[in-house]
Amino acid sequence: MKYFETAALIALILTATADAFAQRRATDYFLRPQAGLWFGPVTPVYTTRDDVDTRLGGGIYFRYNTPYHPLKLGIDASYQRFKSEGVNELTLWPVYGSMIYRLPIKFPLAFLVKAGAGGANVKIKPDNEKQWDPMGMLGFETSFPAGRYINIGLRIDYLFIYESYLPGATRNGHIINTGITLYFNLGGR
Amino acid sequence: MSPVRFERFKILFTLCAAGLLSCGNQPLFDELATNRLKVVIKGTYESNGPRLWDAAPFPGDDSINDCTSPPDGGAGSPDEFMMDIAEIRLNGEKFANYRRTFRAPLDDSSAFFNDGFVYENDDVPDGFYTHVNMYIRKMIFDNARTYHKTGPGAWEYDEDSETIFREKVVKGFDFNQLQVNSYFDSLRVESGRINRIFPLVVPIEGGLAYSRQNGETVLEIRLVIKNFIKKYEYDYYSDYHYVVHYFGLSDWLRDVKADESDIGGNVIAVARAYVPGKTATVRGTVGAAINKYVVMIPAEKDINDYKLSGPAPIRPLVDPPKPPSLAGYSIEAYLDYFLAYEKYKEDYNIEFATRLIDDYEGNYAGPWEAYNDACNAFRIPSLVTYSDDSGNFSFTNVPVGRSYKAYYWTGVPGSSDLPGKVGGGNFTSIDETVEILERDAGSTVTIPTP
Repeated sequence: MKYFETAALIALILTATADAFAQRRATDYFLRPQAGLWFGPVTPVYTTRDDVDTRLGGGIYFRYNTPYHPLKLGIDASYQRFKSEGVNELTLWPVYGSMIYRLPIKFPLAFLVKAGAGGANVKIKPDNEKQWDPMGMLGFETSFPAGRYINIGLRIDYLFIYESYLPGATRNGHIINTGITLYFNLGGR
Repeated sequence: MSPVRFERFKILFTLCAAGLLSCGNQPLFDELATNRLKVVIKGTYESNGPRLWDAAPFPGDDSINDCTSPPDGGAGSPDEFMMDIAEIRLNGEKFANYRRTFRAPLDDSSAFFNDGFVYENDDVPDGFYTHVNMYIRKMIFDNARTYHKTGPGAWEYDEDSETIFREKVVKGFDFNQLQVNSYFDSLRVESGRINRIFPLVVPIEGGLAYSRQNGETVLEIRLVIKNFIKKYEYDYYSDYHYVVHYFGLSDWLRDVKADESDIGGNVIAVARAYVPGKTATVRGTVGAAINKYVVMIPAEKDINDYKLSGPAPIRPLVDPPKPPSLAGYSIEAYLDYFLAYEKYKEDYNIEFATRLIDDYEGNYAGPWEAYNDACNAFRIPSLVTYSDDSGNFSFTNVPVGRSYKAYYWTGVPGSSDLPGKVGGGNFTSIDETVEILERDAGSTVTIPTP
């Protein structure tokens, strides 16, 4: 829970100080390729919450433009290791491609919605089994430019790790990632 | 879209497709939530059909030598057993690191003294396990009383002893704190680190071959508590000479002598594993065995392994004299103390001159080592039951695909006694070729009456 409080506090500060950065937004950096990293609380939800607890996770990503300007394509990879009160442990390596759409809102902050699909390497303890599972992602992100090359933002992603199609399976994986993110505008004028 | 850009997206699509194609076929999230190993803890010597509780009061130990006739008539029998377990491991491997506490009333219908209670765990990796490590924090019987000495042979009742259980004050005495072995442990260099119950190492007879393919597997851990209780006296000094009369586990295996406070090594336990659905029920009738303990052991074992080698592992007669304690700050107390101290010095010098100086190993260390080894070697059978008034008995949850030998103990089971001591009875054979086949699973096998 303390992770959420920290994230909420950062969000408040960002919202309050957004105007201070607004003047610098001379060029639309969104049109450049971007690479970034994030870290923050990763929280199992719904049935996954019964088995493991919230921890810190993090990841990297890369985004590239499409001819249709509000839309970008991205690829994300992250590392998320969940522990529990007992010996249960879940390690995820989600790798997915995504489409990122910038909402047409005139505001110093950019608001992005994301949807993606890919695979997640899932490892569980104490059974010591691991495999790749298909996964989907829905997310929301807000960010502002801090200078010519750097952007700072907040992201919330829901990861759905699909397993219930397997024979004998009844559960899927449900994870919410929240994090602060730092990303760089590559190339540029 | 220009061809160049399309090429770039193709890389992304290929990556996604590759990820999907190499996906596994095991339901890992279900696996994470599934618990196949069921750990059951029981407080009985018997694996099923335990003997009824003996009528109160429970016997007193010879450690009750100071306050022999308490002014209030003495503590009756305890009504409740309380236990606090920090965690359980299998072969040292963590799998049930959940602290659990429970209270069990001392009656025949109590779950702990019948089917046992289930200990939460997260399963272990597939493998073969030979022993359980139980990290026991507290073991408490209620109805312990404190007295203090007011004059020669005169005692005054103070209060019912209190201790802390589950972060609350309860009436009772935590005898876990006394679980070291007198002399053998307490005089050793490493005595500060010796602890017989943290963990208590419980052997799994036949081992636990855990495989997820088997579905549910039961690990049954039995601590001998029912009908294995004695009253002890614990001395301490604080202005007065105080004693606590408390209930603990019987010193049947390792004798506790007068004025000794250590009662360690007397938590006798065994564990066994079985897979429900791969077990049978074994019945039989032995006319000579009415109200007797009946046991079954694996065919490859020798029944003598479940007996002590002598009348008891006899404690070596080499208890060094103990230094006296000062009881109170009156002039009489000091005079008594100095007198007792002179006596102690005299006794110790004699002990040293006669035994320790000549042959410390042969006269002291050796006998204690041998005694400790003999006690440690004692095992109780993993399948035990108690026959009824007609000599009928039945074992439940007997693993199939194995051969067994069945015996009954000829001795009359007493309160705070177990089968296994020479002189207390003998194991008499019922059938040494009990073969339980795989196809007997779920059915009842009857042992022919001898």
